[in-house]
Amino acid sequence: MDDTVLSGLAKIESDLIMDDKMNGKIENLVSVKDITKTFGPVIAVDGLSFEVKKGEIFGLLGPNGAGKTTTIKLILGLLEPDKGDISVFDLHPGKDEIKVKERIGYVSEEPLIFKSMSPKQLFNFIASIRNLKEEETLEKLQYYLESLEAEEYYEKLIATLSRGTKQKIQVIASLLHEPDLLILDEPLTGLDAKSSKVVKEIIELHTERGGSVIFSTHILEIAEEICDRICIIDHGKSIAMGTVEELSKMADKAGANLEDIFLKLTHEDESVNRIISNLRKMKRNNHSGASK
Amino acid sequence: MKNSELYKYSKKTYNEAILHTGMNTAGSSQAKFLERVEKDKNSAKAPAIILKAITVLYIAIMTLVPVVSLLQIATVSAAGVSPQWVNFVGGLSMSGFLLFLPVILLIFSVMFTWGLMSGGPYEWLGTLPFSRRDVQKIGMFTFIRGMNLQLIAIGLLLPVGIIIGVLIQNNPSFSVPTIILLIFSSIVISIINVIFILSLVVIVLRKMAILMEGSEIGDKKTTFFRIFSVVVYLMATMLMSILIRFAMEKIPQLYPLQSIGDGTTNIISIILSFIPFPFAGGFLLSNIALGFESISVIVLVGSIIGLLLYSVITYFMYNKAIDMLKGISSTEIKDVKIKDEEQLQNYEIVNSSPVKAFIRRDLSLITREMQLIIFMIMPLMIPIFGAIGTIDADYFGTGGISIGFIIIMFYVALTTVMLIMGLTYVDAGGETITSSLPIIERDKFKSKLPYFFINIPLGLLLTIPVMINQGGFLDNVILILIFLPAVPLIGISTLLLKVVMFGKLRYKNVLDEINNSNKTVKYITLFLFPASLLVGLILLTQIELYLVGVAEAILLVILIFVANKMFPKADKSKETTLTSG
Repeated sequence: MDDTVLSGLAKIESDLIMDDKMNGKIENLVSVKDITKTFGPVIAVDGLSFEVKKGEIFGLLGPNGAGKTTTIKLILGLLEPDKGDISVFDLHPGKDEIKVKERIGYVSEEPLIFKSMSPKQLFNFIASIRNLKEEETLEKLQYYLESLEAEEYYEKLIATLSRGTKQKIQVIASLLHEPDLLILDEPLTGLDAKSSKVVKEIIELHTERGGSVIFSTHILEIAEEICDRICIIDHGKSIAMGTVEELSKMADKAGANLEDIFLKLTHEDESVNRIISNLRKMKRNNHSGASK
Repeated sequence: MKNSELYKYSKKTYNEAILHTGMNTAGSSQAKFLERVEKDKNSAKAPAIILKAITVLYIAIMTLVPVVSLLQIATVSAAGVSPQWVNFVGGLSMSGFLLFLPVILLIFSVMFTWGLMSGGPYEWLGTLPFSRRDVQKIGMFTFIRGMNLQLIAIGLLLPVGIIIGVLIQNNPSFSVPTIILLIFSSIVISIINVIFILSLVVIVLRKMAILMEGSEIGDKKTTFFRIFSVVVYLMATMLMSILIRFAMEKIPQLYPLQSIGDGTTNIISIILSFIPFPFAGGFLLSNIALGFESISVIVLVGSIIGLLLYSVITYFMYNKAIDMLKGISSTEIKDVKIKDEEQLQNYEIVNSSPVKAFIRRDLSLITREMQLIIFMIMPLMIPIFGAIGTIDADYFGTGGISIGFIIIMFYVALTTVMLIMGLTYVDAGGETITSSLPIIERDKFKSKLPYFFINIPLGLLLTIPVMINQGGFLDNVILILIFLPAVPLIGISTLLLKVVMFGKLRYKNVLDEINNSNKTVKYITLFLFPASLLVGLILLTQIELYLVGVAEAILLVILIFVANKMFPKADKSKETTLTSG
């Protein structure tokens, strides 16, 4: 069977899945069941399970090194789990990697995009790989470049751009093919307040269109602001999952902010209080030492 | 995806890898590097293109070895030299050439091409709709792009060399079937060679890339590896011409000088012909070149079996190379590294003097950056090559100072400037961080001094063993010992001159290059200054040797005075204390 026929079949299959989605047959775009991933002696992800529903912004929240990025790489099919199952659009990200990646937009914490190109060359490259229609893509591109105020960097070498501008280019690159699922790993890192606001708005619009988002962050305020449901991960394990209200009930802290809920659920509240008290003590001792 | 499409995409990864390598090589001057690339995108490719050209040139020159062998085999065979001996020497020379090919490719690839094998450029591709197999293929195509000219040279030059050799020869003992068989064999050997060498280099460079990517600052294994690869690279480039000259001169002389009996050479030839690489191919060509009447059937069978084994090994090597590219877009190595780091909680604060802190920082940077390693190692190596080149040199003046010693001193002046460039280059980056610290320039200056007392004198001392067989050895040793105290002093004086020319501010002097106008003139002056001082001292040896010692003492006094003037001690009395209330 030649490539054209195969890609045609893939498109039909993809359309069928999309139709199923629209008819509500596929409720969960992502399903993660009891996955474990180890690196040598270290368990990075430990029996993690969750689902991401259609039109939902699902937050992966956890401290640095909790296993968020590893989980994302597992969903993308970049890593394979040692145990457990993952399905994305009812497909296996390892076996059906191309079909899965065709419908995903990914923004990494550190911009991975080719830095030896200009944004113009990069977008052309993406349009070629993803087989995008020129006119439609150009329209979207103009809209995103203007929205994120990145037009002036269009022909500059990406390697020479600032961290924030690289991140903007990466965000645009992930959106051009209108993915069904956006996977964003700390996407607001390096962005100024205005661009952050625009990106958050883009995420909202994406879900209004029926798309879903997996949003990984360690910044609680952002998760609280934009995520519909949140999975708190610590040491690779899911500590709690639900809406902010549900999490506050679990933490027995009605009306509290996500920071307090997070600390309570991760059993870090007492430890944080102890650290703060020690810091104050040390500061007081330093002051009294200096005045003597 | 079709291979042709993947090959097209590999151009992007190739450019990315070149940028990646360029950034790594640029080290602390990445900003300057990027500025240059921004102006001219092709400038990042320049080192890779130069490297390709040099490698192809060396391969082309070395192809003369099989050509010369071919000529010699026919000539000495006609002159009645035993065919066993001719086959033996011919087989060894041809094998030497075959062995040279992967060695030269590895040496010239190690420093610049390992970036093609690092995961960086492929990580993002992994997130796009490419299968793993496609990314793997792009990895291989990227590498082939980086090595295209070299691989073409390996594939073509041996058959072309054989054809030229046969044509020049015009010897009636070369029958048409012999010629056809020779050319056919050389093509077969070259094809296997290309795949074998490609696979070997991919395996080695991928392993290196994994090692480099997984390395940390201060990682002893990686530091050793970096320094080792630079030393090997420098030695190889410097010794290559000597090696080629030696091969061209000595190989033809070996053919008529039979030193081992026929029986023994035949046994050795048979054993060697079974060894797949590099001997099977070498002995096959040599044996065929003898002509059908003198051909050794056992060696022929042995080399055919050896060649078959070589093909099998090549097949496995190729699969191994493809296997090694499987993980090229995978992030597992980095992840393991990050996870391992979490396990280590070894905190320490070592409070040392600012001078020691600068020395530690410089050493850490030097061992991480290829350019800096080169600047630091050159003073140790260049005088040695100067000494090698001065064999049988003449004497100068009435005092009988050898030209060889003068040439070595010329190299010392050159390496002094190189060392200074390296030492001040260390400070070229990170100004934003260091300028916010309360740095006393005197400490920074003092931290550079040990290199002048170690690198330059050591480079000078290392020339002694090289000169053992040369005439006037003892005279040269005495001169070297007399000049030993002078060279660090001249080096430090040159550093001070550089500060005067580049780093003079209104209220202080700094090691950084602030005044960059007339840079070329300043650097020429910087070279001429130590050279003139050394010439002055050499002239003093023509009057009285002890005068050199006197001059050294005077120079030391002047140096201490000027250095203290330029980099005064910090005035502690001006320090203020913050009081509360």
